[in-house]
Amino acid sequence: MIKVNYYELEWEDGKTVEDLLQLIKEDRQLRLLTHDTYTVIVNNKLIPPQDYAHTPLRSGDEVRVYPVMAGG
Amino acid sequence: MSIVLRVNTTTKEIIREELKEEYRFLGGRSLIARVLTDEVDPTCDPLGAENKLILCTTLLAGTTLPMAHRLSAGGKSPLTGGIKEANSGGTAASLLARHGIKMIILEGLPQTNDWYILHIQKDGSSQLVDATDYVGLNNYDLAAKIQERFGKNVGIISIGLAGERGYRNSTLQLIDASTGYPSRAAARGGLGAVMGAKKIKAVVIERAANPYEFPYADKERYEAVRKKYIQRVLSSPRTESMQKVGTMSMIDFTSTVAALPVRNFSGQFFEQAEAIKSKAFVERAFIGGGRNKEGCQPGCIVRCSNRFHTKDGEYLTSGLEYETVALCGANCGIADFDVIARLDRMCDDLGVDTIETGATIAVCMEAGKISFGDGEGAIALLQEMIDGTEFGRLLGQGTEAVGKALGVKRIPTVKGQALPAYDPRSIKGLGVTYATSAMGADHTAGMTLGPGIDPSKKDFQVERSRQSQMVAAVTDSFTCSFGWGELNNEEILPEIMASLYGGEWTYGQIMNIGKETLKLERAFNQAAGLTEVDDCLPAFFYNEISAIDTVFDISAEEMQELFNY
Ligand code: SF4
Repeated sequence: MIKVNYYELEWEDGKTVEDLLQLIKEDRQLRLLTHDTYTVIVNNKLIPPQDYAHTPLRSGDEVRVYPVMAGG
Repeated sequence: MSIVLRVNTTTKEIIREELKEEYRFLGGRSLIARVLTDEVDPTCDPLGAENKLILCTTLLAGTTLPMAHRLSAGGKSPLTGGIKEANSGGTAASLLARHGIKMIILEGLPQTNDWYILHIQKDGSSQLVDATDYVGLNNYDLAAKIQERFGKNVGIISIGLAGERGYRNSTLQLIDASTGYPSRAAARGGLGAVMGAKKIKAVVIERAANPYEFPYADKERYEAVRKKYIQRVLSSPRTESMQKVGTMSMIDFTSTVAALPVRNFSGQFFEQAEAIKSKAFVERAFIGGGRNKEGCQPGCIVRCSNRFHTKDGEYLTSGLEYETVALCGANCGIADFDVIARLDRMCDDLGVDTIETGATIAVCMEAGKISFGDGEGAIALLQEMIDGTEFGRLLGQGTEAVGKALGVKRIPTVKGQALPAYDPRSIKGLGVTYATSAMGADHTAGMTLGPGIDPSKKDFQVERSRQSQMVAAVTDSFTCSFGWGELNNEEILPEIMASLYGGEWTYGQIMNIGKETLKLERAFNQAAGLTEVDDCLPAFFYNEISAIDTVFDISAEEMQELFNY
């Protein structure tokens, strides 16, 4: 179990940030915004995009994902 | 794009001028900052003879670039007491551009109680037409009556009873290109009251018989960069999400990080969020014949707008936005689209800002006037504003006035203007923007979400806000902000300026327009009497811990750093 934006999510240990972003794109419930740029924070640490593919997520991790937004 | 119409509402004289050479590379917000600096005494009464209402188009107006025909309105704000620029989509800006009109300046104050419509005819001539028959009408009836007399396709910039009565939360309403109804608003800061004080009920623009042609410096170069820009917009994932859902897609994100304002900015999660998330919105929006993927401006290719019908199939409103759903919905504890859409319609019709109105209703709820979640109660409060009861007129003075009158401690305003739909404890950079923007609390003045910074931490937020405020001032001088993402880069923007206006432009030069605008706006506010005390967030954001365990912790002194441009 990891937390994504304060919501609990079943998670298979070892899958990466990139896997999570893919899931977000595909899953309606999770699809925050399918914008092209995200800010990803894992356990209060900012993850640069080049590290998404090799940053594994483990049970208990707290993940926050922010889109880029404009206006409204 | 060089015609200026100067309308003296005291003498009823209309003078046609050439745009000053030094204003040539300005448009929208940057032009407004400059003209107000040059022509309006910052200490003046916003509803008096010295204030002016400026209506103008952007730097890209008159070109074939999509989303470029945003209308900016400006003046000294009756709500904030400072400078104000509020912009809107709709049809007016492109119709003005077809006449080659860059700007309309309404000045003076009438000495009689007669109302007028400023009528711009298809041959380009303009006159003040007696508006006796239109006084007392709200925007929907007014627009129908104007369209009946002047033609179905005229552009209209109008005020409802709110503007007539001097409500400080009043808007200018514009005709939505896809529905033909007055559902688009230059909403913030009470500029409807400025037009109302000058007793101008509406500006009506006929389609020019001989359309103005933009004097492209290099048409071929322009066509090449235009094509590139359009391709990028159409292939952007952001465009896809704007079309599928519209601005309402924000709610899926904000509700998960406690950024969505809930029950007067309590900082809590909204337990009924599922009922107003984008999935629920799209499902409801299609009932009764409503739809999304609508363009509010002619020729828009993003088309983030929508039309919303009652379940019985009757048109109710259009352009139902995230901000409205957040402020009139979650922030009032309301999770029913049918109620929220009705509130939206009533706001557009009366001509009041949905953000300010939602925040005002929530403050009434906090005071115990009605309870959170009471949709019918919220509708009844808005009806009081429409009816002009004593309490309704107080509601029209905005969130801060109402909060103070009711003895509410937690009033979510900066410079007298209500906070939009992002809690500053969750997105701290936006808190900095709210506090320091010359506009008062305004999310469009500098969105700070982007790669590289944790939005819930204080680090780097002041720098990010400074940068994004500069960019926002440029955005509001060029285009609709949803067309900006693909324009805002070193490859496209300088190329566009060079092909339109000649010479070579650097990206930095263009950003400088934003920087200079911010400086002028701040100087105007300082001369108007606003001080550092006005650059703060309400204390409760510093004291009350939100659901994600944060408070707003960027001090007033730290935020003053922002002004080291
Ligand atoms: S993107 Fe949306 S707000 Fe902008 S012009 Fe198009 S419909 Fe209007």
